[in-house]
Amino acid sequence: MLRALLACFVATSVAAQWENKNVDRKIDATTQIVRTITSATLTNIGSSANSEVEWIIPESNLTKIAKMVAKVDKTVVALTETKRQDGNVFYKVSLNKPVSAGESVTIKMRCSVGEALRALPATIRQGESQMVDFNENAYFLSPYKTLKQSTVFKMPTAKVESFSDTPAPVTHNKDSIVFGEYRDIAPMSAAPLRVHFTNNKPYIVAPTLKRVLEVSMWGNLAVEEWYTIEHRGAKLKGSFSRLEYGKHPGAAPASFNSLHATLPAKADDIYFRDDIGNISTSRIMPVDRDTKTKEVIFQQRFPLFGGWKTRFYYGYNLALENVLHKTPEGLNRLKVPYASPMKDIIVEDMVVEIVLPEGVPAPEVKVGGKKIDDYDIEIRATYLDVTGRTVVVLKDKMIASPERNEELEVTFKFTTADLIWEPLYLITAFMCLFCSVIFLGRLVS
Amino acid sequence: LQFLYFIVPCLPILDLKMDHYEGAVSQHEEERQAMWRIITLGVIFFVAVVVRLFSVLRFEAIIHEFDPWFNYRTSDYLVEHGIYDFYNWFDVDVWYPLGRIVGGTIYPGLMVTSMIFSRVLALVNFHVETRLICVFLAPIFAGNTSLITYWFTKEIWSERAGLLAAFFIAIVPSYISRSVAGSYDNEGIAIFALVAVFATFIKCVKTGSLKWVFISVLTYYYMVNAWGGYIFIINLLPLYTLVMLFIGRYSLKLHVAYSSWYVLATLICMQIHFVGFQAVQTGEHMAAAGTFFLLQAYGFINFVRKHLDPAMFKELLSTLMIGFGTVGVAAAIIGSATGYIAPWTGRFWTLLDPTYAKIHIPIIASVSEHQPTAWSSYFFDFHMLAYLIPVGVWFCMNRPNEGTIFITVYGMSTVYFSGVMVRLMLVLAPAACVLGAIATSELLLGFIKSLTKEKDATEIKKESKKKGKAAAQLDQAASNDKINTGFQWAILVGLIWTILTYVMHSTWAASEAYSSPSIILAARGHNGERIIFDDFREAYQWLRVNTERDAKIMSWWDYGYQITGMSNRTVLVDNNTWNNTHIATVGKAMASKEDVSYQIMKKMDVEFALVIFGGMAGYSSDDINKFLWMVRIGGTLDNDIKEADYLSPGGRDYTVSQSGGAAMLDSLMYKMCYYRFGEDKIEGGPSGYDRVRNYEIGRKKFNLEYIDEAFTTEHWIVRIYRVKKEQNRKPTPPPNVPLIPSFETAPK
Repeated sequence: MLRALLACFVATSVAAQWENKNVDRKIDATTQIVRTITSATLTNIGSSANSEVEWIIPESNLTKIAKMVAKVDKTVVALTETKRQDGNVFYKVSLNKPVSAGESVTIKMRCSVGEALRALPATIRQGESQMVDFNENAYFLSPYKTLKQSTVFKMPTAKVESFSDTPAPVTHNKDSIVFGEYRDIAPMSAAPLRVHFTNNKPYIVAPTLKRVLEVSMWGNLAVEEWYTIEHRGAKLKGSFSRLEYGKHPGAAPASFNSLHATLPAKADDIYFRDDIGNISTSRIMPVDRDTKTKEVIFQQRFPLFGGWKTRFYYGYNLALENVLHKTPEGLNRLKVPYASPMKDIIVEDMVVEIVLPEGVPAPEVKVGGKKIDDYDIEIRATYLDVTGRTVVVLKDKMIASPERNEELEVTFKFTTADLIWEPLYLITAFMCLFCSVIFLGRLVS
Repeated sequence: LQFLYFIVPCLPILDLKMDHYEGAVSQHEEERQAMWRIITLGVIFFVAVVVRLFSVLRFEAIIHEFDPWFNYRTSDYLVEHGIYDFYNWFDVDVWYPLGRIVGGTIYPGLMVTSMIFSRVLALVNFHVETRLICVFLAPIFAGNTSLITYWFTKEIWSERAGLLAAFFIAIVPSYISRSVAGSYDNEGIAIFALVAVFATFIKCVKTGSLKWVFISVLTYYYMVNAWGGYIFIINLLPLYTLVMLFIGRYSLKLHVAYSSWYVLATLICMQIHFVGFQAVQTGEHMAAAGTFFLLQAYGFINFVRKHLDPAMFKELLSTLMIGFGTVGVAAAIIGSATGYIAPWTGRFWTLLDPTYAKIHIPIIASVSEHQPTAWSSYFFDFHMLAYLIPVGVWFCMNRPNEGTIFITVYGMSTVYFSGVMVRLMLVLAPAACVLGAIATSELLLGFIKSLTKEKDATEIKKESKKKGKAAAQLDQAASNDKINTGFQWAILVGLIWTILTYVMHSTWAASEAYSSPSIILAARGHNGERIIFDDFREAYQWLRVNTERDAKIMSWWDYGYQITGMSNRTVLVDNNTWNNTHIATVGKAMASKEDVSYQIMKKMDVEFALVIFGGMAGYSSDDINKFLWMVRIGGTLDNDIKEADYLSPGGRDYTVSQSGGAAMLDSLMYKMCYYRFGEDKIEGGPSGYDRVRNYEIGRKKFNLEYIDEAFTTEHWIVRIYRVKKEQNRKPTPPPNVPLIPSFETAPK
């Protein structure tokens, strides 16, 4: 009771309790995904210990956020949305231990935002470089007063068309621009920060991705991923000339023609196809012994320019012993990566289907250690099935790789004795066939 | 793959082994023979399937060429939507803006067969992609064909010949050419049906039983469903009946078999949408009807003759003949004049007169498989069978009966037809295999018999010598045989050696000549490595994902089926060349100057134009090499296009070099193929050098006014152009964008 009252009190008086002593922002726009690391050192200027800090994100960014994680001293702290006001979303950062009056705490917030860079000009010719426009608040948006703040903006190259030079000081040095440092900023202040720069990194967006993981208890995990891919950068203006494209490697800087995936070293029988058959242009790099992975380059049938699309699927087999383990309770636990293995890709809509053996009851599903309850279950009959297999269907939105390389954990019940059914069906069917042939043969003669 | 080379030659040796079992008496021996037969047939079936899988091993399980893509697309539709939707399917994606009633204009046998396979497998929860079923259907049916050919030959000649025939047809190159994995075409299943109809019909004639007639009609129904080539059956069977009649082999069995077969077969094939009343109206079916009536008249006259005295009968006969003759001729004239009896189609005329199409219908003539056959293809496609056919006929003529006369008539007529049109080589294949098998089996048997007999004779001679000088005559015969022994051995070894080379040749032909999917090209690089040219699929996939679903694509009709099948986009014309005007319009658009073409393309709502260009990669069957046909066909539309304008002014050569005709170098086709090709320079050589035609192109620098290069594949084999939209006059476009000239000034 007392604790509840206290919590209530803390929540109402939180606004005046903190002061941003020092805020460092690093905005990394070297790829299509804008990755921001904000380290804010806050001082408790209130009179009592406090364990909650307010954090603000513009509401327009909310659908584009691929990942947002707050850490204090390298441990993840919980983020909960509290309210939405004037186009801003307020989060509550719950610190693991209260900070007593006068003490400081440093919160490190990593935030990856997809589709935050707007192509400007929106259309370019084949040989031209792609330029993008980035807009952000020059100040750290906070309900507290900020004493000292600076922002480092990093670009892929030194080529910058223009950038906002107010509020001063702003310094451009090769491929980075430093905004600040600014001092004594009032709460909730805002000023435009704008950078217009060259970014030819592939703008790979997958509007849809379907991952199918089929578990065969005979010892195999079959993985198949169905992609639709779009180049979301500046659209191609005018014609595509193969002659120009073939002249030299950098002839079409804004285009891309391959996707790089990091697959397990033991992945076998890799195939790469689309609606009309095999795509013969893929390369498998040698196994990296340290990470036990190998890189596979999926070169598309044709290069993709802005606005162009493609579709493909690929798959591989993995020996089940690599990913499936018995728990002490005798259950089976499947551990696989949750997100797409492709490098620097944004997936807008992802569906993960885990096909479990026939007759498995609804399993326990965890993503990144977090238990998921609202998944769908489907029944699907494939080879030699009678009742159909249990299919767990997970749906997700806005997933950036490699940000979300979390682990997907599916724990299900299946005993070895259940394996016997399918061979038994076959044996019975063939026995019936032979018996009837013998019977009919006797009947005729 | 090498194991094929070892397994296949084993078969004839197996068959030879069979020969030693002749004259078996005990039941045990009989069972052993049956066991051997089943094993041999099983191996033949297996070989028939495996020899057709080269393309899957070399490339992948993919649908080949052109027509199979349409068959695959329709099969997919059938599997997905069911038979009723299929029959009512109006396809809006083809022949824009006309569309096509697919359900009523195809032979659905192939698609239904695939659907049955798919449904049966799905029933046991074995979900196989329609594509895979389609790819492997033809090889499986080739196996079935071997089995049915065994039975057919057994009915005609002997089991031994049957085994040989099954083995021959399993690997005969001319049949392999149409039934490799992925070659998903009507012929793949139709040859099986064809042989089945013949085999069951022979059974009908031999037994005169209605049961067999019924079975035969059912197989015929399947055949009509499967392939337009059923016309051949409906003409061959009456021909055979007539031959039997004229050589005095008329029998009640023949009468019953043919009459009931004809009536039932006509009724049942009228049930197929695409055939319908054609079965009683068109000229192609008239021979069968005529024979039917003739047979009835013959039977009737025979019956009357028994009951009348000869003088009266003669009088009656002449009256009847004049009467019926007049009525018949009058009916035929009135029928054709009123259009009740439909005129004979162009393809049929081509069969009778090989020069017909060249003069009248350029579209039929432009198809390479409608060309007359070169003599060398007989050897390539039949190998030893080509010269065993006459031997087989000779053996058949020595033992005339229902079956041997049938196979002779069948063989002789198809030898003629195969000479007229390349694609009909396929119909000759079963006859060639059966006749070849009869010849081989008789030759082998004859020589083996005589060689073994000689051994016996020598033994007898020895015995008789012991007994004294009683057998001088026998001695004389033995010495005669001795002279021939070496010769006999030579023939025997030669024959077996030929069979082995036949196996080698067939395997080689299957692997090298007939297993290319033709949508994926393979070449050898400098270091012997394999280079894949996957340009077709590159372009088709580009169209599939990067254009609007209702985009209309103009290309020459050859690529229509592939574009609808692989790109899922609307085309103007396709390989179902049913509307000559439409094709001629496309031909004209390709052959005209850019501005004239633009008008045509606008009228047809064309958004993309696609050409196949081999000049960069050295791919010779490209659109420039087909262009003369476009000009010819386009010229049938009106008088704007004249073939002479496209040839070089002096030598009247077909060339795209500097000496090429002015119209040629101005045509849309030339521009689409060679746009910016002039800037491409080969190392140490000239620029704009065409690697197919092996010279520099005529015009290297030109701009495109009405179209834009939208996409060109890696090796330039497929080039796609976007037809520019008409620009607004207001507001005036920015100065750097060129204005499109107004259309009023364009020449009409």
